[in-house]
Amino acid sequence: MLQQQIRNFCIIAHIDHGKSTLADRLLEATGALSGRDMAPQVLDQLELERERGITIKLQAVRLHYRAQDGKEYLLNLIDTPGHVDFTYEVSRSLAACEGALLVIDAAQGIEAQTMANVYLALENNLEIIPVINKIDLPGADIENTKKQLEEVIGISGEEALLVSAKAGTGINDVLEAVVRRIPPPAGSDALPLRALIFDSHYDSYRGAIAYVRIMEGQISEGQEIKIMSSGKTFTVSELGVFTPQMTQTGRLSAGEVGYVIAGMKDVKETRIGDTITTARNPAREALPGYRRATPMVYCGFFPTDNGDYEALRDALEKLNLNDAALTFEPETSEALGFGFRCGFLGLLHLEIIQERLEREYGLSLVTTAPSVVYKVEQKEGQTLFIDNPARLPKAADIAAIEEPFVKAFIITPGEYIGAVMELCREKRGNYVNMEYLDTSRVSLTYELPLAEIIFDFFDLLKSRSRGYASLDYELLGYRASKLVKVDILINGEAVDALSFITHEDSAYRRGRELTGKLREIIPRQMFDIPIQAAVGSRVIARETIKALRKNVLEKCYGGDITRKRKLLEKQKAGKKRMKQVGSVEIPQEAFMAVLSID
Amino acid sequence: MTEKEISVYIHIPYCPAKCLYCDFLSFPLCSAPAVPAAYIKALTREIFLWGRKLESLDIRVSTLYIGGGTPTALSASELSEVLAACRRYLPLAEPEWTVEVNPGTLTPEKIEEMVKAGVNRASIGVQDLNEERLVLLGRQHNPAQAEEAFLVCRDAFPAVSVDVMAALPGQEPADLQETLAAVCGWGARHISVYGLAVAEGTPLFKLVKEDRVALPDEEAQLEMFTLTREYLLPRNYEHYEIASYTKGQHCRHNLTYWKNLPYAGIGLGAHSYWQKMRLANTRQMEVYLQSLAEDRLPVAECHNVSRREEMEDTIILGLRLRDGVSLSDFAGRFKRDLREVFAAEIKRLLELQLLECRDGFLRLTDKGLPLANTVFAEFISC
Repeated sequence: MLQQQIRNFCIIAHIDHGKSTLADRLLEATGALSGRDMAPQVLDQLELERERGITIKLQAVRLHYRAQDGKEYLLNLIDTPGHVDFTYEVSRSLAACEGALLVIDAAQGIEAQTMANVYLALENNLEIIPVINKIDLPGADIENTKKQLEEVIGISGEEALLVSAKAGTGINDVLEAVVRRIPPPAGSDALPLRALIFDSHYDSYRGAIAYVRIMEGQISEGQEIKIMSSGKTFTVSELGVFTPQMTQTGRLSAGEVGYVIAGMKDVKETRIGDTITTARNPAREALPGYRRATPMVYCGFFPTDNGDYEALRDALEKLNLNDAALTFEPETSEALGFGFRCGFLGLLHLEIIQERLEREYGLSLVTTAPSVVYKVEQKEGQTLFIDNPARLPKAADIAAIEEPFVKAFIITPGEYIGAVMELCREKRGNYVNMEYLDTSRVSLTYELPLAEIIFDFFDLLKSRSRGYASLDYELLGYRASKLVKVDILINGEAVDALSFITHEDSAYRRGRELTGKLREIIPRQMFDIPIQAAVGSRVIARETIKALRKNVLEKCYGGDITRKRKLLEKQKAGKKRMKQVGSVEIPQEAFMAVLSID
Repeated sequence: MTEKEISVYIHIPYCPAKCLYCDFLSFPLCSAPAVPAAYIKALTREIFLWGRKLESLDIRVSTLYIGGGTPTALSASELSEVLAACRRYLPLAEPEWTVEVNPGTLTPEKIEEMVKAGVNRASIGVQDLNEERLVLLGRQHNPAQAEEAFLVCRDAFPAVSVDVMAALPGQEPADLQETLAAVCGWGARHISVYGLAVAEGTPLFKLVKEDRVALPDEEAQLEMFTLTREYLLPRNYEHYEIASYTKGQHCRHNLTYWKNLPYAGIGLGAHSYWQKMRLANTRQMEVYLQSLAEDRLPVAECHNVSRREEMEDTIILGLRLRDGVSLSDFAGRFKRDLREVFAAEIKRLLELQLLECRDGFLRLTDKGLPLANTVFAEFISC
């Protein structure tokens, strides 16, 4: 196929604006799948993705399309994840394309996430085709959406295609626009190979499979290739394209999108953004933009049953085969025993891994509250990166603590500006900028500590704007903050897994809220249990769980025996899910309680 | 009791009216799904089927307990029919034979029928002697009737037990003490004192949830529990089970439950423990009647008790007894030393001083008594 007849594109959209439905329609219209035997939203393959209505892992598919000019075109649709945790992955899949469909819900308008991704697309010099979707909805406001396009993104509303992916209207216009407006790929076949890895997945029989866009040169089976960041070499055993099933082609050349199998044992060999070249005639430079995904959020996973430690390790190793961004290392907690400290791209990533461990691997876990990575300068001069509050050095040894800050973009209807600004202030935000997108919608820019965002910021934002505000953010770097560690003492013993780091000004309030919460969560035992919050040796809050005095059921005869046993079984089962800390039994949810205080 | 003996419970699911706190399977007479005559016909059939089975295995009935509901809500002739069926079909071995009676439903005729049949123990639901609270609870009698019922029963039966309730709405520890004093004054030789349990689905549960009725707090409940002991022990009552006190008239029927020995439950919704199975009869009247019309036992649930479970049950039921669980009885029954089977649990509970192991018995300490559920839960594996 001539390079002139290839188009590589992706779809940018906010959650629920109809990206997956549009993708399904494009597949249908080009015969990649017949409507009948197609599960809805084919590109979202993970069960979890379907449930949450979001795309986590990227997928790609090759479409054949005969355009109105009579020529046959080859369209490579590259899907992008739709969540702020995965911004880097999005940027790499954008880099594999020459154009993007920008899908906007005609009733909802432009959202923060859409804007962030549009900026990413513009940075990658992508041709953007605006698609106004859901035009058949009663609340659709096409004119206003066009106006927003012009005012916010600077794209003429006249260029927008009007589509209802659900009803199948306007799909052919989309395909024609892809052919006409998006430029063909430019790289030359004659140059040394440079293939961009924009995704990968692990197959238990064939190892890591790299999803690549050939930017320059060509690649064929049997060739020896080199991963440019690591210098490791492999021999290509199979090459092919997605139809959407993997279909062997034997070779790929500049402009094409496909997969590479070369005996790479897990996805850490095929990191997203890396460049593949040939071992014999390597390219001089790797493609720009590669960086290793670094975890932003850490938490501890501990098996409820200590006997499950090995099973948890196996499960994490298996997930890691397919998820290079996940990190884990053994952690020992006095309170929770043996477990793993795990790093994630964000809270959603954390929740997904947690759910998969529980659902797919049948593990019962105690999860400790998530933490960001703090940069601690010690008085003796050494700098530490602390991802676990329990490991923070003593206050006396600390010269300064820095915490990660983000630039947050929030789009909200005008009537909630006050509430949103109030929220940002509460969360230690610095106001940067405010812009009216149109007469009713405002874009706010704030600098916020990441630690404040990962807790419940998103939920609060949604509740204070009645669900209308949207959020996106990017990392700014480290900044000094007045941070302290709050320890929680239960029955006089510090429980390491309950420590948290917070701003000095909110230590007292959060300490009081958490002790109050713990008083409700921890069941009464046979003695009074003091619960204290302390900064260093100073106790800042105290609650007492009064001793259990009487819990005997006086009546027990024939028919009661079964009932009573069931009652005791329930009581015991609840106990089993608890962790013994000193002489106190603490339920699992206590370790997450710090999340639900503001 | 030997292996050739069994206890039998017979359920009469009728009451003059439902008490506010009641979650037993029982119907007010005016709105029952079947008239007593129909029920008694089926019940008689079930008694017959069990009697035949027991006889074929040469098992004798050593205790018999007719409870409810309110057995004395039946008419004298209906009651007489049930008693006669027991006499006719069950292989009775001079059993302890108890009938639950409620003041307000007792007549000389009913007493006569019972005495004639061989009933030798009455258990009277006195509950409280405060007129207002009796009304609030929906009881159908007043304090004078309760005393009257006791005196009549005392004259008619060799053994009489009185049920008293604690932790009632509005009840102060002093009120409970007054009731106990009165009951002792009558000369009761067996007293059961139960804390009110507010079960979900009962009218009282709703009232409490809506804050329209306030229950004594845990501290007051504990005080009542302690007070009961402190009042009755010096008056020569033996505290022989968590809720039971007696002067030499231990209830043999209930001991069957607490020693985890077999019993047959006959009647709507009744439970049996039979050949290592926990059986439950259907709770649906229609199914019950139909089943017996076809000569089938109306068993709706059957759970096989594993050996481990049997050991656990033996402990948690046995610990209800003030004497506790006999190490040698346990060893004789299971060929295992309970101190080994439950080593970790016992160690923990000894340390907490909730249990003590002395003179060949494992038992609750005085401290452990009011926290018995915490102790029991330790022995459950699930």
